[in-house]
Amino acid sequence: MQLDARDVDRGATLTADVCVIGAGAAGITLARALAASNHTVLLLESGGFELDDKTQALYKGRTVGLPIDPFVDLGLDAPRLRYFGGTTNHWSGFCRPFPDLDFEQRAYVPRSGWPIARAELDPFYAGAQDVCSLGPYDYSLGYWQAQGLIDQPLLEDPMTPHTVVQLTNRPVLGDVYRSEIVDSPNIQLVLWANATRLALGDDGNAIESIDVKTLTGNAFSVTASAYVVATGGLEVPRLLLASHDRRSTGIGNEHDLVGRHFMEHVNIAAGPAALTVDAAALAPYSPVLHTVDVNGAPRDVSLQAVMLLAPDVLRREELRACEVTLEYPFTPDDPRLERVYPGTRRGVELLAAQGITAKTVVTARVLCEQEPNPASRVTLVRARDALGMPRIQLDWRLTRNDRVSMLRTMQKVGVELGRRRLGRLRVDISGYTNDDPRSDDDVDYAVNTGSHHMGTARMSADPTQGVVDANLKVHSVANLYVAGSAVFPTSGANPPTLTIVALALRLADHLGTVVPGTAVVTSPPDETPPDETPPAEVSGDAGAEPVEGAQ
Amino acid sequence: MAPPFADRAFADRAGEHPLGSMQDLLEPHEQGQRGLGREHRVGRRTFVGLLAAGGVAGIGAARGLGRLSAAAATVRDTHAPDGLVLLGRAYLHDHPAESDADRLVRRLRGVDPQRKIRPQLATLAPAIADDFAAGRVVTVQGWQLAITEARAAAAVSLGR
Repeated sequence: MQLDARDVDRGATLTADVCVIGAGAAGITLARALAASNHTVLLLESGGFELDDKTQALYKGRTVGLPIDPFVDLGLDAPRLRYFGGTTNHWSGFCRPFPDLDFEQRAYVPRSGWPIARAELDPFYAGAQDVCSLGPYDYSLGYWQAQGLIDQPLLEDPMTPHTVVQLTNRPVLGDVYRSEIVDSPNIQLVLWANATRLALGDDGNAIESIDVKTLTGNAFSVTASAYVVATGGLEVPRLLLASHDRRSTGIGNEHDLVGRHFMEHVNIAAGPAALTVDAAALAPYSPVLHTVDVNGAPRDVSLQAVMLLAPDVLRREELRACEVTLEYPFTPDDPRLERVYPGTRRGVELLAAQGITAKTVVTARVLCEQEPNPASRVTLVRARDALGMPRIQLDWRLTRNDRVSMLRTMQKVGVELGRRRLGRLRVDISGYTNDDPRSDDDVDYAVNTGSHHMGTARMSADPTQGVVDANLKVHSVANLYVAGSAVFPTSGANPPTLTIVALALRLADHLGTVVPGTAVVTSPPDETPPDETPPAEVSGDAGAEPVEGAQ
Repeated sequence: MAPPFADRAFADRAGEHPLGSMQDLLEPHEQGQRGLGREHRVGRRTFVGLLAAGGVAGIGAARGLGRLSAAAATVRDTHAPDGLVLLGRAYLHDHPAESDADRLVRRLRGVDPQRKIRPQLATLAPAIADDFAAGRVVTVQGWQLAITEARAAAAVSLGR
């Protein structure tokens, strides 16, 4: 079912079993899964079905630290999209689960460690494969080589193992699931609805209602047994911090953690490599579209190999996670070469002097994990948006360790190329960072990012170390949950969306056990007349019981 | 995904490195400092003055060629490729104590010190492989090089 928030009676209260704020990858996944388990869901979406400038402008904010979009400087609103489908509306579709090491507590990565293990997430990763229209849940190089769909990558080796990235051919989840959600009798999709305040009840331990406003001036509220904030790594802290009428520091912020530990993926072209192989040998590093079989049905998926460093290498060298690809091959005699990769001729001539012919020059691109850094944070500023909500300020910071790690990672790649007689790599990150920063405050970067906003409501079993617990429930609030990459304790060097979806499925599974479902209809939406069962109830007095005890 | 030239790290330099001359191969910080940069642009009057002050040997000494002795003949190589020479000079800049042709050549395992160096570089392959395997790697202008090939480039650079 679909509702226009601008048409809801002013002052009315909408009620459902679960209220999900935000219809992006996490929100859509949650709503679908909860609806399938007999729960009524109010799915609040700030925008409509298309981009709307005034709604998108609600995302505007200030950047005072490192620019998260340094090369085009589009600001905080450009990397995200505020309409149905959320940021998947411009998602590239890269998917890969977090490897085991990312879940571990690593002594050399401060504040690392997830309160869950990879194995706990595996069943939900498998489900996320379907949500994201991907192939079989197997990311090992061997599996896809056995299918004959990917060749041996150039750098495959025990020290530099490879994994496969799957790219969905249907990345815009709003398009994929719009009909299902609109037709679902258990989901009330409320468009143009902006959650502006999480209202705690009198005891201060549970959310009693949510204030909702529209840009046209309408206002109403929502009550539910459980509430899930699924608005992304920048908006989650915004709403929690802005809801400070009962708790002066905001909701879930008793330990000054909300908004801190903001992480992005450092994504840099770390230098040219002069290789002794033809460009054809690099084919596995470029996505290629295939039709694969998924339970007897064909599905279009692109496959790409990426290079990692072996876990024991990362541990021994105390390096952060990384993902390396070799991109944009040139022939050494290409007249554009020296403009694109300055100084590359030196490596080519060095090899030539040894009787070795460089056949290809490529960029070694590396995606790096940044360590969780409390100084890297989202805060509120005095400026307000059209709804009266305080805007955000992002102070994104990296550390000296981040710089050292990315440099040493690429140097290792360079040594591997030489060791295997494949060529030479020039590691050059001088265009991205100042040399030899004296302290974390002295680090200056101009790096590409992944538009991946993570960590601002981090997950930890310890309330003093995380905003949410292992079930994604805000530690100090009985019925408030967070979904999305805001809960990632560490970022890894993985595209985040598959993990966002897997965590959303896991949260739906958990909510199914703690929130009684009151929906009547269980049949698939297309077999059920839309008016057979009323979805989310519109009333003035429907109560909502908190689902878990406050901690 | 954006093309590589969208990256500022490359784009900013695009105008600084048009294809062609040796000068263009120099990094900005190298231009005019040492070796083959601005000294090629000295005016005729200055050049005549230099000759008067000490002749061609004086220019060589200014470049460090004065340290050539017994190995001078084997490393002298006016046709050495520019890129190789620049890497060699960069190595010597970082390791000035090695700016001695005799010692450099002696360290090149497999090279006959009585013959020209550059044509023998192909024979260094086993030593270079050993270096990479053993982690004897040095960073020269960002290039991850085996120490043997870096020293070989340095030796060649001394002869030009």
